[in-house]
Amino acid sequence: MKLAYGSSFVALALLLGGCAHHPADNPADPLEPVNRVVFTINDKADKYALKPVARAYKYVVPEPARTGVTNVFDNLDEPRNIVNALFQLKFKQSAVNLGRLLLNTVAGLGGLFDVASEVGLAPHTEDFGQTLGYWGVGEGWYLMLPLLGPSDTRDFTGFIVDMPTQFTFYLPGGQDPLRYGSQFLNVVNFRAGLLGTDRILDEQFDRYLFIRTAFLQRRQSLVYDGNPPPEDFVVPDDDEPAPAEPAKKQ
Amino acid sequence: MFMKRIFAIAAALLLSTAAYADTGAPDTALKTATEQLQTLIKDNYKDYRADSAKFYKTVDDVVVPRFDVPYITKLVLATNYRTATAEQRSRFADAFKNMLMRSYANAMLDNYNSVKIEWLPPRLQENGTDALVNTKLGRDTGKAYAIGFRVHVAKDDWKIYDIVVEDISLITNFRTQLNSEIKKTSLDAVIARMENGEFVSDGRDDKDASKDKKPG
Repeated sequence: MKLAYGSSFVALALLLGGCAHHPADNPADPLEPVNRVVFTINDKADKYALKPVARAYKYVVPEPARTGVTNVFDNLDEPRNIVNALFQLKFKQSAVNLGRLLLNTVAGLGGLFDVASEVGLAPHTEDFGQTLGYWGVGEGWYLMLPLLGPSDTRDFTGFIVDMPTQFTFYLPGGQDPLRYGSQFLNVVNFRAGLLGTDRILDEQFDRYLFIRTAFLQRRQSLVYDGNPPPEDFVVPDDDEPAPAEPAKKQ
Repeated sequence: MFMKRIFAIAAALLLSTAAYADTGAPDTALKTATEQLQTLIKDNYKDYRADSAKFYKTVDDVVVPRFDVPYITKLVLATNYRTATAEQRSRFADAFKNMLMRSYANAMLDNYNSVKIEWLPPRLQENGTDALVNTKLGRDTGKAYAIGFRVHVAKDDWKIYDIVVEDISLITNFRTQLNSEIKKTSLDAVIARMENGEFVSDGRDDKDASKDKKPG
């Protein structure tokens, strides 16, 4: 585990070299043919495995309990937020996240209740992908990862680097049921929260493109803490006359 | 010397307020239109539910003038705008406008009494003619959604040219998908599909998986 972690880190660090920011409507997606195949497989896996499980979970587990599960996993992410806020020199933000971790773990019964939000410590996520973005690294290539879903070279690197901030990273081999059990619960609970948005996907011309643009815009917004600079659209010339004949297809 | 400076400052202030009064604040017109529509829905809810054509007409009258449709058409069609004929441009503008308007109208009708709109201070861009009007849409379920309107000055008035829902820009989204669709088929085919209302409906569960494999 640790060795695999180290070597994949080196490989991905090399990939980051040529990362520039591209607007979300024209991203770098040289792996698109492969990504689309993976997307189709993920889509099937979701339809026949994850989604039914998430539906059953939502049916069986009442809303307050699901919120509790979300809170616990959010709380377990706080070390990642704290460290990455520090990496971006956001000392105040880091202190807020530390306060959230302490308050929610103690007064919120191990993170079940988000009491910190109620006293004005609002949630805020930071991760190593955002840290890299903060220091000017662009998202690089768009990636559709098997089972993990959309990513890009920068944020996938961040995902790997962030692993030591998760408690599951330190579990000995004998604790695999806990490791995979908690990850499974996290995924199912997350998917259950997204069931209401499935309708939006069905309204798209091309779901692959929709997810790609949505994901890249979301990441860009997170890098800028919710206030990304507006993307400059390329506007066709104003006084260009319309051609009389429709364009021929190449 | 002193008087001169006072005069200059006063003149500058007067001029700037005059310019401001001309176009108003970036969010005034948008607020007015939204409140107008909310009141109309409240008063005519049953009517609108029964007669969607009538409701679409209302939305067309109240909300659509707040959008810069010609500019949106250019932004969405991007490079395809140049090769489109005048007739294709206007058909596309109409079809796209109707598609957006209907999605917007249906959402408004479904949620009119369960949402509360909070208007955040608009952010003016450096050029002074572009601004971002941010709102928070609070549902009665307790969830809140961030909806942003990108507006600019067109014909002495602030007009909307993009809606950003939870970080996702409608223009960016449609520009990507429509231009890819146009490349695969043709502009006329895409317009026809939009005119048929193909993208306002739901319940297409399995269609896209096979479409994805088609060579571009």
